[in-house]
Amino acid sequence: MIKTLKDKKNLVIILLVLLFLIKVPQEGIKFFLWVLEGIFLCFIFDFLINKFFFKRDILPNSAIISGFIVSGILDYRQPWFILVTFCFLAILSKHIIKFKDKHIFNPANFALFLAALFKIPLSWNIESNIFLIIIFGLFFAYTYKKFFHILGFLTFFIGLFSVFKVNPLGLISWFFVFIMLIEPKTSGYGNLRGFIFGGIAAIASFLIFKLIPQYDPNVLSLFSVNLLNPVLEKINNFFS
Amino acid sequence: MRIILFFSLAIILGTGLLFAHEGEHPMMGEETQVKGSVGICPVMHEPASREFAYTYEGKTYYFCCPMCIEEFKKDPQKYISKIKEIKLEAFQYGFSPDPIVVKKGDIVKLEITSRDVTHGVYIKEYGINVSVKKGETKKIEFLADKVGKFDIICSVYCGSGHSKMKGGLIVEE
Repeated sequence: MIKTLKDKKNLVIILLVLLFLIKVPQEGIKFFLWVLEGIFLCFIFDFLINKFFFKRDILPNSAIISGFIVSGILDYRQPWFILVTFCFLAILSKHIIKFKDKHIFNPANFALFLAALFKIPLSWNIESNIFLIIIFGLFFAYTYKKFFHILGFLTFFIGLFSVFKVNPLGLISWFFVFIMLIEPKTSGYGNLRGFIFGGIAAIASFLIFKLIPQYDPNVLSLFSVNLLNPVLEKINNFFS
Repeated sequence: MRIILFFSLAIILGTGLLFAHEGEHPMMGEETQVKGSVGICPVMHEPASREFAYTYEGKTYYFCCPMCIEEFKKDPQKYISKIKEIKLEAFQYGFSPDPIVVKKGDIVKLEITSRDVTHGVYIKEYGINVSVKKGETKKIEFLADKVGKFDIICSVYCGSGHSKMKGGLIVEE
């Protein structure tokens, strides 16, 4: 039990399960099945790609997280093929869009970005309790050493929105900040890089809100900053 | 193999960008008009044309053909009573009025505004998905031809209560 809890990925899964269970009574059986299918699909796709293309036998915990995020954010009123498609795209992006043998894009966010482009509603049902998200999120930020990512994001997000007299706290997604933005493999390490990473995401989010508000600012901003990962890595190397 | 997968992904991304550029929901039905359209003919329930207009009691109605204008003239109230004009306001985190109640066969004209930030109005069963900025008004018209209770949800992220932002459309028999 303690061994399980020591694995941070398992803690993320526990948080996602709690958020999911809080939302189920409000949304009903279709949401319940939708999320379970999302988890199952991501798990199976990742397992099969690893087994048949890379000859590795892995039980992919990270795919469970991706499944939770994709299905928990995509609107569950959509047809099933939408879920199958975007779960597949999430896992596919992880295996084929790489820089220096590491995937560039947060897999779930990549799929959600594509969904946003296709104008599929993102209802963010998984963001069901912000207190739980903040409590667990602070712990994740501490253990993954991602405080500077969050600091960079909040500084620019609150600053820019306040300048334009929009209440930033009314628009911020804590699930995005504490779960998606600080995803360990695609957000990079280092205080400076983290601060710049968060800052760029916040600026992109603000620009999207101002210029193309019909698109999800969280998903598009994370996609943009992930796109800059190869450049950010150079900044990190330059300063270290 | 990886190259094939990469190109497949690139094609999907390209298609997505194309849809994004077009600006309409790919699954949006013909019944939804956002702008530049004159709506639905109150007689035949077909798309109306600017060419066939008729003003009655100071209000202009548009039809799909001249015969429909003649039909309308015989008993205007019969058709006007089936047009439901509703001002729908979106706000953090809800819609007003909620629920919207109409009868099957009504032509529903929604005039959508936002009180605070950008919101979306999404009614899956009627193929409606529009976004509305604060200070903007979007007009949508559709024929309420499906009976039931339908969710109206916000399709644009509008804050931490976004997932709770829900309204109802009730179409009675």
